[in-house]
Amino acid sequence: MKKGLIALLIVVVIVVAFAGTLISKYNTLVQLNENVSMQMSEIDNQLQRRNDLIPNLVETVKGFASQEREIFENIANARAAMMSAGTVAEKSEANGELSGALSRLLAISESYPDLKSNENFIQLADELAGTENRIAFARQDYNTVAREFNGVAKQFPMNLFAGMFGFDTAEYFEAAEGADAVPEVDFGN
Amino acid sequence: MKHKIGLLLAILLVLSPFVSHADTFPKATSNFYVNDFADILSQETEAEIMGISVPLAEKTGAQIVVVTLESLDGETIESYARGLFLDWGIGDSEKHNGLLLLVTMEERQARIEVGYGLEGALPDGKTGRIQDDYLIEHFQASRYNDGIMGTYLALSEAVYDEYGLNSEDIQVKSNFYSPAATGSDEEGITFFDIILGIIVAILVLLDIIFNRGRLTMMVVHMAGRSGKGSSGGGGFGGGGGRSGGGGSTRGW
Repeated sequence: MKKGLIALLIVVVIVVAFAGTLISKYNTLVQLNENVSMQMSEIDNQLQRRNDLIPNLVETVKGFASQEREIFENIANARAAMMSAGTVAEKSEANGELSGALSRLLAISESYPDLKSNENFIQLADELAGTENRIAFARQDYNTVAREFNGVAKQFPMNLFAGMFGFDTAEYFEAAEGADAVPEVDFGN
Repeated sequence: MKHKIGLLLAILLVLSPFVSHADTFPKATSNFYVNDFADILSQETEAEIMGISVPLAEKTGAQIVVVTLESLDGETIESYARGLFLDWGIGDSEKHNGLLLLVTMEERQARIEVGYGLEGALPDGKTGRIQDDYLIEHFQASRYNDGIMGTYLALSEAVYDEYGLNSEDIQVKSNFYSPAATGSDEEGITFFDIILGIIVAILVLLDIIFNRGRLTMMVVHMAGRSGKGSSGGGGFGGGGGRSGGGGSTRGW
């Protein structure tokens, strides 16, 4: 009888300790999940900001280089893909496409001196470069918290329960090849 | 035994610069608002920058910091600028109203990095315009001092406007503060320093022998951390502000 009581006590202690760990891990995950969403919305903000900049920029460039149809078309397509992207992977891919198309748009200014020295264009190009830069940092920050979240979610004992509590693995916002570079126009010369 | 302590002391002295430079970023000078690592600014310019930045920070929390570098050592100016901004915590920790003008000589690049809180007053386009108007021409003619002063004044004007300040209200100007001459703040090693060094070395040795060096590691760790927020020596320091990569870059 006494033995049974001790065994029960031990089981209770183990269960309580296990539940305690689980609860504290759960709370950590809730907090980290919050951070992941927060960083994701920061990326979304900046992607939106860039999408809003594009029409103005394209109009300005058209005023000087209307024959560069292919570039305008690529940008329109990439922008549309960006707007319809839902998952992190889709957004990340669309972001790479659009960054590439936009840096080609800025690069053509080298062949149009009037465009290159146009104040409106310079301002828009600066806004675009700044936004690309913000996207790059927001992406880094997002990946950092996503890694932290996944680290905790995959640890025992949380790995057994994460799915049950509704925590999916956070997808990384990976940069497409070559999309890393911030478009740069040298107005100095 | 005496020799061993001497040796340990020597090792500690050799290692100390590495410990304090655990980060890839240089420590801010005690003047904080002007850090002329590339040595291209005149004393007057440095004094003027201090004369404007110090009272501005006291009134509004906004911190305008100038940094000149020899080289970025392979990093992009965008990532260096943001990294330095966060490392030093430029601007107020709640208003995030910091501003960094970074110039690097080897790469011939300049960047204005804007804290979150000043993005409204200084949108990217405006920071590019300011560099076009005040910096590039001077820099192309190697008048770095003039280029930085002009750009700095244009930036501070934008910040005055943001806070509804009249620039004349705040310009206590150069007589307010004169920065220490570079290099003169290094004093000789006194007898007291040596005694202190030996005592520390003995404590470290005891810690290593009896405590596997745990205390030493902890102290080193803490020193590495606390070096971030405030700079010592009664100088000025960052308020903990952040930036998200706003601003603009120019080459010359």
